[in-house]
Amino acid sequence: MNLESEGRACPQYEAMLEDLLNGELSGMDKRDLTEHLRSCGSCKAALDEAEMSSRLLRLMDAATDPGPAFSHIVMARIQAEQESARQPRGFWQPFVSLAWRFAATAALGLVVMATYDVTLHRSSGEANGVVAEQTQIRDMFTDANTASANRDDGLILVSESENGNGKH
Amino acid sequence: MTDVPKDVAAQASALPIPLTRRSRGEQDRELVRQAQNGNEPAFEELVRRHQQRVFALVGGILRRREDVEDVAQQVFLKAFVSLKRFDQRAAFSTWLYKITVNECWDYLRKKKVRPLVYESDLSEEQVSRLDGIVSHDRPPVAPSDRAEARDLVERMLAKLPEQDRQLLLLKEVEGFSVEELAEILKLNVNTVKVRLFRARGRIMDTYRKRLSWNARAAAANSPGAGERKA
Repeated sequence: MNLESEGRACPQYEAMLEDLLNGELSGMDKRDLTEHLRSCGSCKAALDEAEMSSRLLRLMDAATDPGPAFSHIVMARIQAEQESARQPRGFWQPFVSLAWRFAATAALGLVVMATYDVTLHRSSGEANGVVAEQTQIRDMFTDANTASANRDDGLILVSESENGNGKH
Repeated sequence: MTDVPKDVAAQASALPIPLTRRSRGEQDRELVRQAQNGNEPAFEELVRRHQQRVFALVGGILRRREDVEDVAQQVFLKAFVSLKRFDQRAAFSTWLYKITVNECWDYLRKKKVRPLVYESDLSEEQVSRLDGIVSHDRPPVAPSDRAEARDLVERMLAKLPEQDRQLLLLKEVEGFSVEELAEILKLNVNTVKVRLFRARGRIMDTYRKRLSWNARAAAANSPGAGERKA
């Protein structure tokens, strides 16, 4: 016997079954559900189980009333919070907070400047490298006799000069 | 709790309709109005009127008695701070319960509290005792039996998904209506009914599983079991 599937009700009647359980079903809906329960074993079993769950849960204790002391505690906490909010700030407080703000702004400025500097150096370094390479290639073609006919010849010459074979 | 403290009643007596002759909702409205104008005794009266329900709601969600009072205090502090912004379009209770639910969820999130988990499972004897109570609808009389029965139900609830557990506790134990639950949990009334009914089925599944498991275990341990196997 599959006990799990036994208690499952028809989906269209679940809300009505909950109402019936809570004594909140009347009129046409009640007649309709009562009629359905006569012919549907699943819904009847589900209703029986739901009634049992109510009995089971009734064994639990509801939260107890915290008593009159609770509201006094709450009001005391509210007054304490209001009091601390009203406390006059110390003489140095505005200066300290200003100093903190200044320090934070300065730190942020430093970070921005450092990032900018690093980025600038990296891009100018790359540009310098390209210029140097171009100058090296141009220097190799100063002699019209050794000037290569095309770009490939030039590159061969560069590689030979780097390996020490390009000396004339 | 419809008694109004003397100081609040004294202020209310200046109003065209005495506070004590109004409905609870109207009294709440008037107390809120007074509290919004800085009348602290009026707010204290609101605390007194709603503390039980707030405790019930927090208890239903957290289920840890030691945390309930702290969270409930925090709820009323938040309500006091936000009261000026409360436009009274909804009932004060609904507004307060929403603060309560949010506070509970914040608390669970911050503390990373997990639902109560029980190391040991229900014993055979405990399940049969519970079956006697549930089948015959005879509530246990002795306090020790009641405490044990509560503990057993608590263990079964701990096996349910968090939402099922909260719905069942708030509806069946703390006495919130389906409509209240729908408003508090921002759900459709029909959805709450269906979820509740399914949650009932699930707790009974847990219960039945224990019963059948125990019945099988008892059959296996019975003196004739070994002979039958042989």
